[in-house]
Amino acid sequence: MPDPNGPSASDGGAVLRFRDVTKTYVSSHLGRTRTVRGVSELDFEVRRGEVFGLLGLNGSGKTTTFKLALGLLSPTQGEVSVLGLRPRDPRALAGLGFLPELPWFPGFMTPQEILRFYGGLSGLPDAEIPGRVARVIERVGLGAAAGRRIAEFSKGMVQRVGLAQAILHDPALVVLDEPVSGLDPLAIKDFRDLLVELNAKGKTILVSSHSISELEKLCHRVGILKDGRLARVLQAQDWSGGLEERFIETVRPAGGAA
Amino acid sequence: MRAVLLLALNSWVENLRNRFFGLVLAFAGTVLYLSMLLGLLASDQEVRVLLDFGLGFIELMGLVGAVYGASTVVLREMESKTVYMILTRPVERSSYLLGRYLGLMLSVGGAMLIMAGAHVFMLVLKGWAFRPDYCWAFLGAFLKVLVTGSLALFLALSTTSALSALSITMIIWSLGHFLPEIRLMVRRFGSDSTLLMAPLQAVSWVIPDLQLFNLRDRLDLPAGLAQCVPVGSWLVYAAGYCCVWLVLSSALFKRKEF
Amino acid sequence: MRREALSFPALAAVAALGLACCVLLNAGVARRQSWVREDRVGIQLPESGALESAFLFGMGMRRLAADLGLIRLLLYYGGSEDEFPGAEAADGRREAVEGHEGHEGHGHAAFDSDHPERSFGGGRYPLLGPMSMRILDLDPSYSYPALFTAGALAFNLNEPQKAQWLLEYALKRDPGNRQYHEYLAAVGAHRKGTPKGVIEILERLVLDPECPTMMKNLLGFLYFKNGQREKAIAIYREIARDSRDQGYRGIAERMLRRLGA
Repeated sequence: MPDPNGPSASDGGAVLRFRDVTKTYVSSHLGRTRTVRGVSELDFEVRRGEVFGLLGLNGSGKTTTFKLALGLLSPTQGEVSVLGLRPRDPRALAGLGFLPELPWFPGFMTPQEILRFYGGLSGLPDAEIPGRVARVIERVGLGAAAGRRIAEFSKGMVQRVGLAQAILHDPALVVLDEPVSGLDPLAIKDFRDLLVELNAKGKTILVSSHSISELEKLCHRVGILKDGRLARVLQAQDWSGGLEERFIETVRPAGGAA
Repeated sequence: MRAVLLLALNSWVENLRNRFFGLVLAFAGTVLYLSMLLGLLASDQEVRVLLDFGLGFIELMGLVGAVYGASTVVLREMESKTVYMILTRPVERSSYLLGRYLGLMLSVGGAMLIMAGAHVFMLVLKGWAFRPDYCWAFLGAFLKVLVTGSLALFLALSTTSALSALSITMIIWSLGHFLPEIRLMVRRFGSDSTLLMAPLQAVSWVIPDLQLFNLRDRLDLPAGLAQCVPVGSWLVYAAGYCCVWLVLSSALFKRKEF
Repeated sequence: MRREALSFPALAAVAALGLACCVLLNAGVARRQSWVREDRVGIQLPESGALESAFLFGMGMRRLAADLGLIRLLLYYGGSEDEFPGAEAADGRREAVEGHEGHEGHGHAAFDSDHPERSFGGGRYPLLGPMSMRILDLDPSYSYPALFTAGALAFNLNEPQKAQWLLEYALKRDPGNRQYHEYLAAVGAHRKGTPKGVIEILERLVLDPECPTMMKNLLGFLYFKNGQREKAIAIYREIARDSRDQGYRGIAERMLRRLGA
């Protein structure tokens, strides 16, 4: 269980900052234009060394928030900064690791081949890559399966390969989108332990999940999104009565059941 | 540059192990066999028929591989979120596109070379004396494939539909072979029917002149192809066209939001 | 996955830039197109096969279209003349033309340059000439089909007038081709009934590696008729050894046995 007080902004500064960010999608079809708000006036930060969780119903803006942080989307208004830089700045990207939901890798490749490929793309020197790949493979618990093809892997093992590529280049910020989606309870526990270990070594983690209990166990703070807005940010001590209740009372529409 | 080479090599390996290219080679082998059967029907002209059918189908197979690959490679990676794991690294979007394009063209070129090797072997068995014109014809076919592949990539990114990109590319491929006739029509009838000829004229300015590279159809030139091909202009034209579509693809891709 | 549409001004700028570059490149090519051969007579595609030809042209396969035409021509000539599609129509033309032309050799028939295929109606294998002309239209430099057909018309089917029309049609498309002039001379010698003249010309023609086996076979036969046994044996041996045509190899082997070689 993480320290309920967590690192504060005064300890090490913000690794990720959203300043009044709005993202609007505009689509046009047969001359008709449709505008959809992805997120509105998001204003929060992820502090160095903390685990920050993002919680929300489907369509609440979690994915949009992640993509804005990763530079895959640009804000319509406001500003996003990663490690003090624009999200698409190569220096920011070098300090970022990302695990998408249900990552896909070519079935004919082995974890070693995949990690060598992503290590090269991350800018790691050629001489360093084999050593790093070997260490990361051991760290995520795939040592015995390092030479096997991805096609033979279980979902949990593929997820570990995904985490391995996210941390291979030792990024300061690790962004995880639904990291335990589809995993069995044992795999979930293993995964959580890996993340706790990462955080203990100083990594900042931004994670989204539908599994409230996982966020409860992992996070220092949790932000709850509702209809594209950051409805609430809870510290670990705020949900000592149960994060699920806090979540439901936040997202339930006014006046009745959801 | 390193990222481009890594991506190109990764694409090449993926295509090598991809069933599709295996099918293309198997189909090409079948077609070469059928060419031999047709050659038997042509009696005295067996070698010419084998030469023409073989070169024609090698080019067609190269075209199919390049256009299918270019139309689907980026779209497929966007759907599988593989592109997220690449673009959240310090890799320029233009490098990503260039790497994927080069890898695809390397794969297609390699497949065409293998087919050409088998084709030349069969021709020599039939008593054909190897001429350098064959190499020129092959090079012309490959340049056509390069230009069309770059166009297919652009269309895939602008239409975001593999089917649209495939269809439009095939139409442009056909029109590209009719360009000399289109220019002739515009010259002959342009003054009498300016309005009617205007769209044709516009087409003749924009689409690539694939007949320029169609040296397969000029193997009968007595002086030999090497004497008749303005090599410098030829290569500049091909390189220029590829660059145009790759730069435009890159501009589109840089603005693309995921 | 949501995708935001590219803003219109940006898309327009991108497209305009691309178009400008393409125009520049194509302008450069258009100026240097002198090395691309322009058809002197213009492409005349007959109704039958126009779709197929257009498709193959669109694939940049003009030579291949001509090759397919040759295969069809050889299949037609090698089969019964009534088996081929269009033979019924040719019969109709045959009746119409015979009323006008009379039989071959009377010299009253004129070549209809607007509808050349109609001139070949009548006689055996009436589609042979039109099929050969179609191949010339597709690939004017492809002389083999025209030479083969002219040889067949003149020496096998005894229709030298049609052979002459065909060779003149071919010359319009490829004026520099000496073979056509030689074949015209051979047809002329055949019409005059001077086999020695024909032999003299054929002896030059068979030196060309692209010479149809049929012409070599004809030369062998003329040698045989003229009592030039050694020359006949030499040419039949060459056919039996080198020809890709199984039919003519069989003929050559039979003639060699007959000549006692």
